[in-house]
Amino acid sequence: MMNNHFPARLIARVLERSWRPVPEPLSISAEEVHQVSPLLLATGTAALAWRRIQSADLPTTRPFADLEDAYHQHAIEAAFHEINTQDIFKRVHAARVEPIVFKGWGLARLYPDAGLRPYGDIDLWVRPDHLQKLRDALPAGSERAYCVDSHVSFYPQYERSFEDVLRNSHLVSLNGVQVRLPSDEDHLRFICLHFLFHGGWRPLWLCDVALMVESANSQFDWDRCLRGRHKHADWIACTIGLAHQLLGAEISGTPVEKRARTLPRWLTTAVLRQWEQGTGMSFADDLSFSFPRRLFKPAALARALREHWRNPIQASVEMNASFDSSPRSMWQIGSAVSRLPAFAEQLVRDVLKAH
Amino acid sequence: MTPSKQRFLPKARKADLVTRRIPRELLVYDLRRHKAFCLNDTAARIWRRCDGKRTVAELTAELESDLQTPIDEQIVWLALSQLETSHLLQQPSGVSFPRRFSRRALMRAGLATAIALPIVTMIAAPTAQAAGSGVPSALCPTLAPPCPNGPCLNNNNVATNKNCVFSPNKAVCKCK
Repeated sequence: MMNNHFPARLIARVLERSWRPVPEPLSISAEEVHQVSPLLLATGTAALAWRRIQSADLPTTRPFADLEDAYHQHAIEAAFHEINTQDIFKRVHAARVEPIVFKGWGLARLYPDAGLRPYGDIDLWVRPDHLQKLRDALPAGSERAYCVDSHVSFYPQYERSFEDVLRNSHLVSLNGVQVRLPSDEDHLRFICLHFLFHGGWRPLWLCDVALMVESANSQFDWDRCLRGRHKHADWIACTIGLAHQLLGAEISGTPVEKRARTLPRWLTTAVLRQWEQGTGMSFADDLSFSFPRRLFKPAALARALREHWRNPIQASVEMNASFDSSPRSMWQIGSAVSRLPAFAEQLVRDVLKAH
Repeated sequence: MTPSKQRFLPKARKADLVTRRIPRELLVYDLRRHKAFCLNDTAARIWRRCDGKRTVAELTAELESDLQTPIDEQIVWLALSQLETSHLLQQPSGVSFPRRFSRRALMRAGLATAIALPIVTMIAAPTAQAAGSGVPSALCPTLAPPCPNGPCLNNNNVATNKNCVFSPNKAVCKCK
């Protein structure tokens, strides 16, 4: 079992229930730490891993120290993010804008220590007619700037309007500043879709799912979380199933329990393949990335095309396919074909620009 | 002990620092120098009490009471010397810290058995990409450190092969 996708399985073993207040001791060798640490560092899971690995009583070797350094860095970054988030919310309150924070601090705060869950930007969802007001409220130019990612809509499969999410949202105090977060139900649905649309490449995102599922108390409204088309509810159930099967998330008593135990085989394999690569091309919306530069370099060109070939998860969600056990290749081809017009358009622009 | 040392009232620097407590350690980021430090529990206990009113003898007595164990004053001096070197005390202290306050000297003297010696270490910036989503290339140079360390995005929001990282020369974030 350990031979297939060994590095990815090792990541899963290291991260197993690492989000809990008291993680279980981990049995791991120094050699294994050496093997897995570059992947942990590359995927933002170094801090969670370090928390478990330190229980293994290993000598302080370079990879071990790298993981600890990453944790320290993330912990300081968390302090900055909190200061920035407070300032942002003071500004938007003054401008009478009501954004909702997704991911980022909204998830980091659930971990035993916010430094365990790094994030780079602050995702805010606002009403479309408030977008400009939000931008105006934030400092720009030479003044201190924030890495805010503002959104006016999310994936169609989210199937919730801003007003609907706002009605169910709640305020959480961040050092005295009220920050608006989606309900746990809406947030869990969102992070599951986010994981899938990015091809499942970050194990950290699956830890988020596991943590949210385990944090769900008796008040958690599963109907609200899963409400919408049956197919999309199944996507959510499968993502929770991945958190269960790969990371040991406890799902007993949840409505997704049965589905979580019977995932299509391609789904788990796709996640493990992605994890062992250590990176994702989450942002490549078309095939044009660096294309003109690579046009006359066959090896680079082949690599570029490989990078832009959707993995089975991304292809399935892009093509709005069911997570059944049918082969994924047709959806992968479909996804490439559907992106061809945009690719051609972009390619012409890039080539013209290059000349 | 010289008279100047007896009168020394160490005062922790507060301005332009961001602190974060984590289990058994305190992290301090210096916004002026863009350097981060990790204080172990002993160093953090001493630093927190440096209010410019307590003498070293008083700091030692309080640490003894805190940790319920006899503590040599030299341990506090060791912490202060490291805090001063890291610019975490208000400048200038005007006190010279002799070599006998080095960690090795204290260990040789057998003073390190009861408690962990105070340690202030500079944190190395990790090489990993910490950010989750990437940073528009135009935005990266406008960000205040610490930099996100995430991929820089081009105009189409596509990840480039550069990361938005701290540039020590100009103390700013830069795509490189």
